[in-house]
Parts: sequence; C-alpha cells; structure tokens
Amino acid sequence: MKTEPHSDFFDSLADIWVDSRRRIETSDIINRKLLLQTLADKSFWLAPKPRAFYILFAIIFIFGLSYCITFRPGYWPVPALCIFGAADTAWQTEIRDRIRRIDGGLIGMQRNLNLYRRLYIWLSIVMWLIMIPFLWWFGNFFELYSDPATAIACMSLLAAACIVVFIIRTYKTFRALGDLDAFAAELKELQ
Amino acid sequence: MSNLSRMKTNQHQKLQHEVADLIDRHKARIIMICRAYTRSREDLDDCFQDVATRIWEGYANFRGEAAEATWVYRVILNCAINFSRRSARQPSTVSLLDHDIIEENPESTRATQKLYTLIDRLNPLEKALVLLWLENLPYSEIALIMGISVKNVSVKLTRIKEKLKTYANTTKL
Repeated sequence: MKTEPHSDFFDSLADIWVDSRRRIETSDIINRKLLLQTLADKSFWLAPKPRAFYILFAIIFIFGLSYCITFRPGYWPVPALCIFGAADTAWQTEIRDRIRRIDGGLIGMQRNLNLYRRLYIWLSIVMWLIMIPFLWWFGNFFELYSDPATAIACMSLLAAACIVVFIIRTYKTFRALGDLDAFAAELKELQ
Repeated sequence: MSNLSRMKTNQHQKLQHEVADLIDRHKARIIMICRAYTRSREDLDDCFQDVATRIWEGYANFRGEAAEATWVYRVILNCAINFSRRSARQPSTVSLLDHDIIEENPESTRATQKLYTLIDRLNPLEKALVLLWLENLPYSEIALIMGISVKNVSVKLTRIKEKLKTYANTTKL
C-alpha cells in the first residue's frame, strides 16, 4: 500500500521536507576524515570482528576446559563457572545482536530490551546463588580459612568485591538500555 | 607487522570505509530524522555521532534480511528516540557536520524550521511515524520499520495528520 495523495497542507509539508533533504543529499556535509577517525577510535570490543577471532577464542576456551576436566578434576568448580560464564556471555551476545539488528522493528527491539533486562536480573540472582558455594570451595582450596572467623571474613571480602563488580556492571548495562519503562508505556499507547 | 595482523588491519580499514560510504549514502535521512529529535546543533552532532557508532557496531550483524534502507531507518529512529531521552547525559563531541550546508538559504531554513516546530509537538513515536511518511515510504515499509501492522500505521497516520493540522491552525508559525 502506498501513501494516499496529500492535501495541500500536507503537500507543502512534504515539499519542505523533500527540498531540505535534497539540499543535504547533494552537499558534502560529512567530514569523512573525522568520521573515519571516529570509527577507528571505537574500542576493539565495539568494532565488528572477523569470524576468525571467535573461532580462535572458542578453541582456547575448549582446550582450557578439556585440560582442566581431564588433568585437574579437583578444580571442577572452575570449569563449571567458566561454562556458566560462557553460556551467560552467549545469550547476552545473541540478544544484544538482536537488539542491534532491531529484529521486529522498534517494537520488537523494545520487547528484546525488556527480555534482556528481565533475564539479566534473574541470571544475576542465579549467579549469586552459585557464588556462595563457589566462594566456600575457593577459600578451602587455597587454604584461606584457618578457622570459622577467617572463613567468614574472607568470604565477606570476596563477596564484597563481587558485589562492587556486579553493581558497576548492572549500572552500565541499565544505563545503556535507556529509559525503558517510559518507552514501553508509549509503545502500549501506540498499539 | 605480521601477515595476520596486517590482514586484520586491512580488513578493519575496509570495513571502516564501507561503513563511512553507507553513512554518506544515508546522510540526509540521518540528519533530517535526528534533527526532529534534537533541539540544538550540538545535540544534532551528538545524535549523528550516536547513529554512526550504532551503524558501525551493528554493521557486522546486518544480515541483509531487511533492505539496507529499512535497517538504517530502524537504527536512526532507535538512536534518535533514545537520544532524546538521555540527551542530558551525553558527553560533548567533535562536529562531523558542516552546519552551513544545513542552513543554506534563509527562506528554506524558515520553512524547515516551521515543519520541525510542528513535528516537535508530537510524542517520539508519533514523530517517528510522521517522519517515515514524509520520507514517502509505503505503509508496508513503515510497518516493517516500526514493527506494527499496516492497518495500525494507516489509522495512526490519519490521527497524527489531524493533530498536525490542528496544531498548524492553532499555532502562529
């Protein structure tokens, strides 16, 4: 379906738009040198990466895990946490890609953003539950706990460090996601 | 420099040029839409840069499932709407645009200003719909970009046009 013919009023609006657009289109408005510089300045993690990078990363990861499981079975919580971390990174990457591709249009994107936010919170809760036995194992493995008081102190210290990392990460993530609630309300109104 | 790292650098530079070309092809769309969501030259610059960054980040994942223009429209609208919400938190940036070209002659500048003043009274999503309509896109493509049905686009646009007409009659521009 194509847009219906404009009335005079809307014709004039469309004409202004087309005129302004044409002026920009035919101009040399962009400072290409600065634009290329801006793209080059974006950090490695933001820039598109070649497939070889992911393949190399996966090989190193699988090799490390295989070594750990085969020759250091006592270290099992480490590969377990790595697998959890890899799964966490994989779904986050996938959903972020979906958001970047804007699958399902603006509304689909907002749905994905909300899904991301919800899953992020639940996975963080699961991660915390996993962290408690892990911190216990970690301290015992490296003989950090000589008595119950030291155990509590060490676990508190490690937990505090994890909490700080978690808060910074969550703050950054949610700031990047923007003001979703207000947007979701507007989308509801639009539909 | 090893062959591998030289190859990586070349590939990276090639990507940069591809993205710069894409931004250049769609510059009018980016500027016209960003302008509707910003209130100053500085904000327009920041918004433009935001869009450029998003295109750069998303370019590798752009699978060509949608037309290039559709994808670019989505990115611009998403960035511009989000930008208008968090413009207060944006850091200042270097200008990538030559503003003298945007405001070339006073007559057309006044007309464009009028148009933007009218559009500015709409909420961000209504604005998005009307901007896509001004771009003369078919309803089916507007629906694809917005993620709503064609019928919804048609109904919403009729209401928005009525609103715009009322604004134009009640506001002395």
